[in-house]
Amino acid sequence: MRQPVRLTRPSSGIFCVLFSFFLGLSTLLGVDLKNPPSDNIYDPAGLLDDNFYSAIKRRIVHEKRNRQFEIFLILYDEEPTQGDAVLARQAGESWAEGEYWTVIYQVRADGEIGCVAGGAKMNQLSENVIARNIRGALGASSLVETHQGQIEALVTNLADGFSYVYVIANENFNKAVEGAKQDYVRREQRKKKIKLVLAALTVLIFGLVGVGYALWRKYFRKMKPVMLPLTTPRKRLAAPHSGGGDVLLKYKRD
Amino acid sequence: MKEAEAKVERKKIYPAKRFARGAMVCPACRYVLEPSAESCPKCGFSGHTVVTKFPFSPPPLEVVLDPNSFLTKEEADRIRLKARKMKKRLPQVNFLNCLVPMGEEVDLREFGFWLLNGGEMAGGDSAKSFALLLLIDPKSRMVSVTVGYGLEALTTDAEWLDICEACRDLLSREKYEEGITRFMNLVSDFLVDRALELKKETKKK
Repeated sequence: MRQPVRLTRPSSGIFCVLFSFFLGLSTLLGVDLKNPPSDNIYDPAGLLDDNFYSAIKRRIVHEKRNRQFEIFLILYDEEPTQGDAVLARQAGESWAEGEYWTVIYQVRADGEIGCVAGGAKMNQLSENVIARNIRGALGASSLVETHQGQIEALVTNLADGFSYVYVIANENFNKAVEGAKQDYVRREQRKKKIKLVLAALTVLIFGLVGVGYALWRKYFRKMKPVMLPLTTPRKRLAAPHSGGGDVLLKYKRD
Repeated sequence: MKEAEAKVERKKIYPAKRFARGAMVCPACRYVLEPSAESCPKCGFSGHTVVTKFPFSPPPLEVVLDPNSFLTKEEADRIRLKARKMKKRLPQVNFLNCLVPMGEEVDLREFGFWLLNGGEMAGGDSAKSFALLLLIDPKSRMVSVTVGYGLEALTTDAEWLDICEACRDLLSREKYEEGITRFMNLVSDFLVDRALELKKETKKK
């Protein structure tokens, strides 16, 4: 059996009044962006019958389990105020667990079917590849006559197309991650080097200050006048200024 | 310079025996003298008798006394400049360098005694207290040092001999300017160290 689509239901009375007031403005509140719908299919109006629902669900589960590709389906019962594509993208970004997803959306059964794709891995593909895949899937699905059949065909074609290029996206993503890791390592190494240089500079500055202080002590202070203590003269030999001495050296080398 | 001199005048005067490091000896016979001896009890040497040995007026004392021109004018000027620089570091000390050929018959110690006591000096008699007379006799190849009473109390003859010994090689090669310059450098270092040492000593007590 299909699980009921989870809708936001305010419990308090005041909230109910406010909710009813704003409900007319936007159906955004009808889509729970926090939690993905059961089976990744949002179909409040029950546009899909059980057979198609089951088939689409199986394909969605298969893609997620085996190819890391998440597919969501939103069948609005009313046109969202911010636009169906915008809300679909917001829903995809919020619901997706991985980095490779697509959201198929449509406003009622008579609205135009659209598709958005996103995620970090998906973004590794060029916009042309994504657009071509979506266009191809839409084109293929348009060949089917029934509305439900178109949806199923679109899911199938999108799954095939995006699974095919997943390898490229994943490889590019891994390269980007590896590049980011290397950048991070380089940044950390640069930080370490800067720290080392700063430490060396600090040591050098302190060393220079130390050497400067030592030089100042040795040379600059030597420039300051030095005074010898004054003493009473040991006058002798009737000499007023000097008593002579016994300093005599022959410097001639024999 | 005047400030430094004024500072000197204001400074405390210590009794010489407090620092006296060397013995007082007679310059003529090396007899150890008693304090205040008017003449040497052994040989009778004194300021009065020495003038008979040198019966002429002593020349005025200058940084360079070189009547026989053993130094060129440039060399003498460089020594004067050096002395002026030394004066900044040791404002009290007056370097006097005399090159005179006396011969071995004249004792340089006696000559130094006579010259320092009798010679006129630019700074007056008070400047002689810290006068340092280096006598070099190129004829006898002898060197002698005579110091004023101020320096005498703070140094010993042995220390002056050590300094002379360090200049011996230059003097023996007749490099008088270099010898005198080296002497002045060594004296400057020695006296600065001694001044700092005595400063600590006087502070302790």
